[in-house]
Amino acid sequence: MPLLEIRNVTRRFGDFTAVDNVSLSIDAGEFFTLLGPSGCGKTTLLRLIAGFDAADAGSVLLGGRDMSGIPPEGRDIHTVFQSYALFPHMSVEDNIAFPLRMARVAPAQIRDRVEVAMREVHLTGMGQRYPSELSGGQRQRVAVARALINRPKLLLLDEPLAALDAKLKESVQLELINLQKEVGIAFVYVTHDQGEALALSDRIAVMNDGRVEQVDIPSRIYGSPRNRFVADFIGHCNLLEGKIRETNALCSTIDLDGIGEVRAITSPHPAGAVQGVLALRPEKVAIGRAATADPDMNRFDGRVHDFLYLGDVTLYVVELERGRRVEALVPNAATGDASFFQPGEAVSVAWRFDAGHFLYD
Amino acid sequence: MKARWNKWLIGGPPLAYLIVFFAVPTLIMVVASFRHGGPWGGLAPILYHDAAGWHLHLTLGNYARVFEDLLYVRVFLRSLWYALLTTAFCLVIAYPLALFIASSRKRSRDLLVLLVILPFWSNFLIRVYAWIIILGPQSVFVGALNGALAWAGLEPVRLLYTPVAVVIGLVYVHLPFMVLPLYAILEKQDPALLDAAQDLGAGAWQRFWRVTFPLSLPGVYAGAALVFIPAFGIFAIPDLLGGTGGTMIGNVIKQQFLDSRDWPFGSVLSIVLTLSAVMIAVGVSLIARRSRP
Repeated sequence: MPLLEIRNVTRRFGDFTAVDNVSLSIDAGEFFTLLGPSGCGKTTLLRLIAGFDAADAGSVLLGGRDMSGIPPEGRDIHTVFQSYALFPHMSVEDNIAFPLRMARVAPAQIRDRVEVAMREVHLTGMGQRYPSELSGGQRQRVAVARALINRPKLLLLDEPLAALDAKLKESVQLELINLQKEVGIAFVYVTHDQGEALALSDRIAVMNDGRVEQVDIPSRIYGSPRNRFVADFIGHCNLLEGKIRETNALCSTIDLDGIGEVRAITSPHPAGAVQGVLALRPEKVAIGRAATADPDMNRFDGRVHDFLYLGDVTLYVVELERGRRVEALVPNAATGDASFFQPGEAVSVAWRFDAGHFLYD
Repeated sequence: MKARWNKWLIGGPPLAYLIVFFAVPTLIMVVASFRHGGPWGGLAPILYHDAAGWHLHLTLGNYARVFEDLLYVRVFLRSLWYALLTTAFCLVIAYPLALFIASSRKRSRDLLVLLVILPFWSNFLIRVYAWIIILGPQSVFVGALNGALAWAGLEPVRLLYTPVAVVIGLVYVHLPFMVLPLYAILEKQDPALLDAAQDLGAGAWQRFWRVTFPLSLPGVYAGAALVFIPAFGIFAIPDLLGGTGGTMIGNVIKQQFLDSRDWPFGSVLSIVLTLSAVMIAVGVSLIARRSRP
């Protein structure tokens, strides 16, 4: 039995449908991420799970038990809020002890457990400080410690890293993963940052317009996006419009508008569909002066239109003969000065047939 | 150089205002409290002349008179008691009201705040006179109250010209001064804090006592000061609504200046009133500071 089950949940605000018939199931101990642009319904869904809001249709089950009518304080679910919502009039210690006091745990036991919790999140010795005296990273750790101290079944995190600077984010991500594995509590993590989602999650649900577009492990979300939205939202992607010509068990032949025929793999063919888009990650596109003769490769001649030097990689925009553009991401692996292809230079671009995914509209 | 001039330009007028209308009158009063009364009231000359030359004509006797008769101490204590009662009632009435306004929708909030300050648009005395009618023996309100008391087998009561009427009047007049600072601080409170408390297991009552109320304490202290200090020294309301038993220290001070024309003793009572109000305010703010980081 899954730990959390969301069954056909819908939430409307007037004419606007924030969550549209969403069904998800989350297992115990899982790090599950709701990923999507702002306004996609992920925060509304989180509030429905926490109990701050009630669904217009469908149900939320925790451990097989229907949660409808149970207020947030009655659910074995805690939340780390985006702003952290630390109580400004309480010390770090009192903030972390708050859920235990609400549960009427004996004072002596509270003291011990708070101490352990502070050690877990590396806040030992800061118990007497007040939230206003802490850095952003420390506040985030207090919020996590407070939400975890009485071991809820499920922890919800609403963009908890949004307020941190980029450098700090990375180390906090590692801390979060380690902590989650250590305590073994399922996390439902909301973010609009796809890098964060890919780095942290066991599974990701990509949301758009209140619907779940795809639920999968990070590598498949990135490597085999199910539709145009997922391909475009996660990472960088060439999206080339085209029509399917023929398909067999191994690969399909696609006629790309203004480029020509290529081979690619396709998702299962919906009846009657021919139009679609070829999703091709830039880092899977090779660029070179000499033509390759490999039969597994799709190859086209073009000219460098522009390039962006990004340090570890260089992004080339190559214009093909008929005006279509393809982006290629080339690692700057060579030692010394990298030699760049100059704008206007004739090059060829190539990619393996199974690097491209044809997604039906 | 220019920055300093700007500072004086901005700070000068209010400073001058405070010197002319606060510091100088206070100083005059302090000096008057040590002087002798004139033969027909007012003040005797501060200097007198005899064979040995000019002398300052000052005394400490006015201060001794405060304690010569227990009457004054009793009136002081009564004023203190009425002011404390007023502050407590205002807090109890204003808190739910402020909470209600702060938690209502943004559009209706402005209207509700307007309603709270609406009484200020009519004259203070007219509003107090209205209470003479409301609390008077012919009023529907008092009639209904006495009807209910008679039904319960109790003696009818009289409200007007009693201490009860004084406290009702004091509460009515000072209520907005409690509502506004409370509303200001409650409105600023981050609603996410209440969500967090609820999420972490706090019921409605615990959310109030552990989050809302402690965070609103600065507003409680501000409101209490704004109600207590003027209520302590007021004379108009006990004059109009109180009988002989409801006299407050403000009435006595007014009598000393206007009826008895005993300016030195009036000054003494004023100074004692001001000092005790300041002492209470300082005491409360010390307690308040200790309870917060």
